[in-house]
Amino acid sequence: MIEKMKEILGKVEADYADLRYETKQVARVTLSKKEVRNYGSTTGDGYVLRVLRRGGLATVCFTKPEQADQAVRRAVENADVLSAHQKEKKHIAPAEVVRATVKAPLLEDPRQISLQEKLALVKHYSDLLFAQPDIANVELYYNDVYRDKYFVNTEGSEINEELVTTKLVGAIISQVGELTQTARMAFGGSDGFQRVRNREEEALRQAKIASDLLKAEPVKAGAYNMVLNPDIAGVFTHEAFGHFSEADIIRDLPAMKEKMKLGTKLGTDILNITDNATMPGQLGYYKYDDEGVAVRKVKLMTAGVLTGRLHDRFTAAELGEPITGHAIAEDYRYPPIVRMGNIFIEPGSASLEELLSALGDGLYICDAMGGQTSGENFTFGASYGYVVKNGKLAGMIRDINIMGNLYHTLNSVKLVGSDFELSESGGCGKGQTNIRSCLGGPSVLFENLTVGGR
Amino acid sequence: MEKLLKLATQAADQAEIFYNEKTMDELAFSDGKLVNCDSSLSSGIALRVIKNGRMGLAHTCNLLDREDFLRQALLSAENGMEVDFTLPHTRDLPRLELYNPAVEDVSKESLIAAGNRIISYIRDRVDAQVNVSFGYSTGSVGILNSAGTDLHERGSGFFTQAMLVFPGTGSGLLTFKTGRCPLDLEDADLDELVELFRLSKIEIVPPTKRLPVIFAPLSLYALLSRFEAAWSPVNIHNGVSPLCGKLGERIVSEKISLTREPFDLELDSASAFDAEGTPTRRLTLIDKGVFSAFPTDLNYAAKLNLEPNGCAVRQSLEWLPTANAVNLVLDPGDVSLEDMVSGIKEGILAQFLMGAHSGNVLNGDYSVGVSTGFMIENGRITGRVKDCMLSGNVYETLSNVEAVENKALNLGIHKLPALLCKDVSVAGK
Repeated sequence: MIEKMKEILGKVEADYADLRYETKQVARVTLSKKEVRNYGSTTGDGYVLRVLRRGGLATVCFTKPEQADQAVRRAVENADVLSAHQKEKKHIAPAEVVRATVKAPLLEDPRQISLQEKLALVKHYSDLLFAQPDIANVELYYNDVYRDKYFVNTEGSEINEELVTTKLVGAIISQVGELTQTARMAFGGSDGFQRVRNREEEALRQAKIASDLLKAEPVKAGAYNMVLNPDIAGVFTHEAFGHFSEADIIRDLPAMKEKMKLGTKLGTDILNITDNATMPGQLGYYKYDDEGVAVRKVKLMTAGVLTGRLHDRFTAAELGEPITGHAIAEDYRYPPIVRMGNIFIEPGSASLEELLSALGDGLYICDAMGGQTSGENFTFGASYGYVVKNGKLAGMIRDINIMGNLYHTLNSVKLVGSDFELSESGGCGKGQTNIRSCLGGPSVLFENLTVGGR
Repeated sequence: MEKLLKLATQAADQAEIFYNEKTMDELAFSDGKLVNCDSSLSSGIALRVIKNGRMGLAHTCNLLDREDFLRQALLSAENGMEVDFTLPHTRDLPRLELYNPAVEDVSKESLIAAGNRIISYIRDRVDAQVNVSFGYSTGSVGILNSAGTDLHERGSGFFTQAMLVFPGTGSGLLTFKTGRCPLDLEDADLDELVELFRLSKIEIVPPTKRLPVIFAPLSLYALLSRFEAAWSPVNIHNGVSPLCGKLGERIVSEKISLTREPFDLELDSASAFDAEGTPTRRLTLIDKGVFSAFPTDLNYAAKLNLEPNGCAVRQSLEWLPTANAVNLVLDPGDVSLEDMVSGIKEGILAQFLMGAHSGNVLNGDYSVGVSTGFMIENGRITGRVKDCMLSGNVYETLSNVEAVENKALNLGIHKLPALLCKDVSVAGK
């Protein structure tokens, strides 16, 4: 494959060019109310060509090998259009030439397990959950995604890396009369099928939460002090801060770039934030990004001060900062953009009891249900929570969505827990989907976050 | 393709091939500077088979080995979903003019000139970050099946949009046009954007209380997505939808009428047939507040003992078709947006909401952040709202509709007017 790709790249007249080809196989088993909805595997493949000519960088994605000449012509034309009309030319930051073959580090390879066995496992969880009180429906989605990526560039890099992601996620729906409530479970990771086995205890815990939520009170709207558990603190870190450490977002928002200069104090002294996709076993693990750059650990915030940013080779050149290896594409249909790998707040020293005691009166919020960023504002939903009175858990609450503002919220972090967990579901939908975007962290005490409610 | 269908028909009880191809170009300016000029050439094939009452699917981008591709689909059918429907024999459909050759004549130089004009026009009036983007495409889809259906449609698309970014943020104001041939933004569209931008310089954190809220067309996704979950035939079949057994009942204000319009050519998904080859038809889902129909595909129409109504869509070729209502048109009312604003003593105009995908969607609950919205005081817009959330339940909020705007905005996917709803829970100060 590499030789074929070098042949295509050889036809490009440019200052720099790279070509990525990948195949993506997805094995999928989904069950809705005990009924099989999807069972099978699908395959797709395609190419992404990027050309840099006289400061113009253009991308052409194409599907068929016979489209290669057309793609080369179009990419060159597009790059020339950009070059002729761009006031600021694009430059590419220097990176090491890499020749490497990287196999996915798997304990139990999901590709070696039959679809029947996968179906049997999903049915097992479905039967288990349906047997629990108040459960009206269980939707389970199993998939394993195998991406076999080939990358070549005109500097001489030749890389073949495979990524295998295994996930079993579920929505557990409880019902009384017309009221339904949902709890979610998510097991998975980058190191194999064993991640989705033997998780019955956690599945049952979520079924109990779904049932308990039927009796929970909807949260009342207002501003609260609150402790977030590791899963939702991770979503906070991803939404409230992580996206603004992605250099392409900052590059495209000049007024924000001013506010987000490295060395700016944005958080409290106890706040340390890191992106580390090199940690083995976690969902976001990879070796080389989709520009062929080895990913590295980046300390994004140190004692509340901005100390690093996530980059591709073009944003690194533009901002004059080090490359980090964070150019990631969803798959063969997309050019890479800057993405988080595995972001978290570094743990502190407080136990959960100490966090709740320091909170006094407020909310204890647990498990994420998705989030979104828009400008300096962000929202995230929670699966469930508790009212806290005098440091003790009181009644359970539901329908929790939290909103905050980047510039204020990082300064409202008051105490950081000693616990540490990374999510097994992750995911991010910035333009493209990144199923391996990993997040997590410790439990964290915040002051004054806005909660929507009726 | 015909050879593949022949092979599949011999090996399975029923077979269907869905194929598509698309060429797309995008050009974008960020902060007044040209930054992107990219293209994509994509295509794919999905093979669906039904054997021994079970359904299977395979997908590929490059059909290299027909036998292997068919094997993959048959393997999928071994334990696939149990189904009891017959693929349709569809023919003699009306021919819709979905393709406009003017899209093929678009030159990048002309778009750059149009982009620069928009940027200059806005910057002559306000000092702001202006982003402009254009996209245009041509493509085709086709369906062949073992019942003899052989359908093919070719279409074109074009969009242009301008965004003014609030300083120091990533949110802002948007105006756009979408259709099947090149479209330009008019001065009146840009003047409106500039005027709102001037008003946005004052930032207001609203009080925490119940207030009237105008949901502008782009914010209505937060509400419509709750219906989408509720009228999904899967959730109705599974008995977990709040709309189960409610056909014929009033579920929202009588001011709300929502219709699927497959023949409105200005909308992106206009088509004479759906993703399974079933003929499409006009379908009123909510008629003056009454729940009157829900979208079905072949599979769930059979499971629910209904006629399929041509609402099957494919989110991608990797997935089996499912029923969903696209090309929705919400009937306009009789009040202009200006009159809605002038009638409010204290309230909010919500333009963009965030976090619409989280919360108890199936139940109809929403709790969303306002990323772009305006405070209305004594009948006029007094500033941009900050740090504010709106919450409620779609059935309750849309039972409290006081007015519907007198025109609908074409969003491409739907055409929607603004809605004024009273008594929405606002969380702010």
